[in-house]
Amino acid sequence: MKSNAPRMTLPTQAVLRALLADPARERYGLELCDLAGLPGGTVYPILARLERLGWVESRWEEPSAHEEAGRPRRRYYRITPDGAERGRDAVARAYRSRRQPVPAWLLHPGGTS
Amino acid sequence: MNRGDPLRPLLRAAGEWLNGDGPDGDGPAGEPLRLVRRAYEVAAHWHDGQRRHSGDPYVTHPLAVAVILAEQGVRDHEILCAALLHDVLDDTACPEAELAEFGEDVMALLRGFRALDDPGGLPPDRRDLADERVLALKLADRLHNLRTARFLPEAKRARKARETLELYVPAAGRAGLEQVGEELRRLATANLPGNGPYRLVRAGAVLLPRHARTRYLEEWLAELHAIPGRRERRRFAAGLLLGMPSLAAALGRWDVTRWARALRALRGRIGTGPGRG
Repeated sequence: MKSNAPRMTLPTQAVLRALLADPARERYGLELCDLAGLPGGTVYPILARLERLGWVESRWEEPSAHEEAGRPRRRYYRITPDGAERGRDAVARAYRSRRQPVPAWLLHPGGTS
Repeated sequence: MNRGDPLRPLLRAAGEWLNGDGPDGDGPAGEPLRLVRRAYEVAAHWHDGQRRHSGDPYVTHPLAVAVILAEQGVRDHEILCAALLHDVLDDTACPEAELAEFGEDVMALLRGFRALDDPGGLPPDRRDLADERVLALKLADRLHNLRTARFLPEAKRARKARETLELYVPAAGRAGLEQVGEELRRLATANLPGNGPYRLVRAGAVLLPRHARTRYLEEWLAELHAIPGRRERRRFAAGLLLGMPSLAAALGRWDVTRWARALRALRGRIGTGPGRG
C-alpha cells in the first residue's frame, strides 16, 4: 500500500458520497453505480482501492437471502467507520479546494459517529 | 440384447468389444459385459424409488453417463461400471463393502470421483495427479447434468454453468474429450442468464489476478442477473470491460499484453453507448 488515501478524483468523490449518504447501509455494486451516476468500469476499481485501504468492506449476502429467490448471490459494500470519517474529511476538502460550500451533511453527519 | 433390455442404449454405444474378454485380454470371455450388467442391477436396486428433477427414475442418470463415455470411444468396462455406480455411495444407503465385487480398480475410480466432489479438494483442472479416467467420468456426469439442467432451479443452473465454463471445459481439453468439452461449452453458455454480456465480461476478466477473478465474476453474474433489459445488461458489461485495466491495476496487477490480446479477441463484438456502462 503506497499511500493511505485514494486520489480524490471526481468519480472517487462521487462513490464516497454514495457510500456516505447512509453509512450504515450495505449496498451492492450496481446500486452504487446508479447512486454515483457512473459506469461499473469506473466504480469497481474505486471500490477495490477503497477496500484495500480499509475504507470500505464487502461481503457476500447470506445464502438464505438469494437461494430462496433463485438468483446468484450478490456482494454488498459498506463504508467502514474509519472510511466514513476520513471519507467525509477528504470530500469536504475537495469541496473547499473547488471553493464550493461544503454541504451540511458532511460537516454534521446525521447522528452517526 | 432384446428390446426391453434397459442396457440397450449402452450396449449399442459400446459395440462389440464389451462382449470380449476385457482390456488385458486375460479374463474369461463375456466377463466385462457380466460386470457391467451387474453394476446396472446394483445401481437400479439402490436408486429404486429415487427420481431426477425431471421426474425420470434416478438410474437413468448413471446409465446416461455410461452411454456418454461409451459414445466417446471409452473401451474400458471398469469405467463403465464406475459410471453406473457413481452416485450409489453418496446418494443411497449402499455401504462401500457392497461394491467390493467389482474389484479394486472400480473402487479406486469411485473413491477418486468422490474426492473430486470434496469441497476441500482441488478443482478438476488443477488435480495433476487425478486419474484421467476419473476426470472423464466427472465430465460425462456434468455433461448429462447440463443436458437436463432445464429441470433445475435457475440459481443452481447458473452456478453450474459458470463452474462448467471455468473448470470443466478446460479440463475436457486436457482429458482429450474435445467433443464433450464443446458440448459442455455450448450448454453452459446457453444456461447463463444474459449469457452474451457475461461471456464478454468473462473474457475481459482474464486480466484480473486469479483469486479476484472468481470473486468479481460471481459478483457481476449476480448484477447482470438483476438488470432487467438486455440492452442495459450489454451496457453494464461493456462498461466493466472498459474498466478492467484499472480494476486490474487497483488489485495490483496490470499486464498490457494480456489486455491487448483480450481486446483483440473482443473487438467488434461490443457496442458501447451512453447510460450505465
